Amino acid sequence: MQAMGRPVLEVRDLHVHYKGHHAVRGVSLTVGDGERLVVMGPSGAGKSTLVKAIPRLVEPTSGTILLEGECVSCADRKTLRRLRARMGYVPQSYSLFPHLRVIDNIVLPLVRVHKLPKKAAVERAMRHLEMLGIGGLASRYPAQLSGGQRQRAALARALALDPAILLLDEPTSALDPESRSSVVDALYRIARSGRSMLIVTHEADFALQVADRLVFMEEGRIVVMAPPGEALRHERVKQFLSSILEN
Amino acid sequence: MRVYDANTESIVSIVGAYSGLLARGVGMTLVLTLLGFTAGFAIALLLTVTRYMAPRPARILAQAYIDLFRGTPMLVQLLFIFFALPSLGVQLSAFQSAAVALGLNSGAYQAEILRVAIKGLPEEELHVAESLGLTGWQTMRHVVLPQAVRASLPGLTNEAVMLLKDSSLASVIGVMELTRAGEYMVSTSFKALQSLGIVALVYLVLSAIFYKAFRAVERRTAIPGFQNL
Repeated sequence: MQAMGRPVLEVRDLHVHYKGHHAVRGVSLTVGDGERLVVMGPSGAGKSTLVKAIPRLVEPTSGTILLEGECVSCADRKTLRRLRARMGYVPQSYSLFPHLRVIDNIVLPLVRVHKLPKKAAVERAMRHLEMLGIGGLASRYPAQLSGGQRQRAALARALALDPAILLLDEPTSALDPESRSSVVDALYRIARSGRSMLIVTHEADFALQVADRLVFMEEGRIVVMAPPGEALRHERVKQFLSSILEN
Repeated sequence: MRVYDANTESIVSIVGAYSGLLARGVGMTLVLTLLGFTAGFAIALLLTVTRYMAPRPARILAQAYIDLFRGTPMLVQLLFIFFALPSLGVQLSAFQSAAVALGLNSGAYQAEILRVAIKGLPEEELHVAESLGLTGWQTMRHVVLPQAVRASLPGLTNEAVMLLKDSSLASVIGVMELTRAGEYMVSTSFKALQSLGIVALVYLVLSAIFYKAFRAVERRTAIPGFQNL
C-alpha cells in the first residue's frame, strides 16, 4: 500500500545493530505528507531503535534514510544537525532539560538552532504551550510538573520547531493512567492538525482511530504495513491488539 | 607521674600576642585557597570540554595531565615548581609557586569530579539535545555543564576544604600562611600545645565556614523540585 502524497520520510532497507543486538532488520517504509504512521509491536521488536535511527541518534549499520528527499544517512555533521532540526523527536522519558523552565526548554532550540529573536521565540513557545493546554506552566521547572504535563511540554517544543515530521517514541508509556489520557488528548489534537507523524505507541484505541497506516513490527522486521482495517485481518496483529486491549 | 594541666590563660595570651601574625596567616591561607580553587575550576572546565569535544590527541593530553597531577604528591609538585623550574628559566616567588601548584593540582581533581557528574546524566537527554539540532558546544554549554556543575557541588565543597588544608604545604617553601605562623609561634613562645592547638582550631573554623558557604550556594542554585545526583 503506497503512502499518501509525496513522501516526507523514506527509509530503505534499514539495518541497525544496537548494544550487540541486530535490532532492526531490513526495514523499509515511507511517511507521506500529512500521513500518520503508527508503529506497534511487542517489547524488543526494534520500534524504539527504528525511531532513534531515523535522526541517527543511533547510527544505522546500513540502509538509506531520506527526509524531504535529502539524505540523512549520508549527511555530514553540519547537514545532519540541520536535518535533525527538521524532525521533532520526542522520547518516552527525559524529554525536557530539568534545569531549564518549561518556556526555556522551548526557547533554547528556537534561538540557538533556528536563530529566532528571543521575543519571537517566546511568543511561539507560549502559543504552542497554550495550544496543548499548559500555557500556565511556562515558568515552572519540569520536576514541578506531572508526567503528562512534561510530555505535553515536550510535544509543544517539538511542534514549535515546525518540523517536517514528528517522531514520537512511546510518548505515554512512562505515564500513569491519568497523565496518559491528557497526553493522548494532545496527540489527537496534533493528529487532526495534519502534521506528518511516525509514532510508536501501545495505545491501541488511538492507533486504530488515528493511523492512516499501521505498522506491526516483530524481531526487528515489519510483519504488516497497511491501513488499520486491513492490518487487523492479520492474525498476529489481532492477537497483539487483543492482549493490549485486555490489559 | 607528671600531669600537664592545660593553661587557658596561656592560650588567650598567646592569641593576644600573636593576633597580627595569625590574621596575616589566615589571610594568606584564604588567598592561596581561593586562587587555587578558582584556577582549578577554570582548568577543570577546559579539561572537561577537551575530554568530550576535542580531537583525540588533545583528549590524550588532557587525560595525561589529570593522571600526572593526581598520581604525584602535591608536595613534590610544589617543590618542583619552586626549586626545579628556575633551571628551565621559569622563576616564581614562593607565593606564586604555591598558588600555581594548588591550582594545577586542584584542576585535575575538579575535572574528575565534573566527569563523574557528567557520566550521571541520562543518555536520553543528550539524544534529545542532538535531536534538536544543538551543536556539541551548545549541548555542553546549555545542557551538560549547568547540570554537571550543580551535581558537582558536594564534591567541589570537599575539594575546597582539602585545598584549604593543602595550602599548609606552602609553609615548606617559606610562605607565611597559617601553618607557618603556627611554627613561628611554637619557636618563639615555646608553647607548642597551645600554639598548634590554636592553629588547628582556626583551620576547623575555616573548614566549617567553607562548608556553610558552599551549602548556601547549593541552596541558591538548586532546581525547584529536582534532586540532583
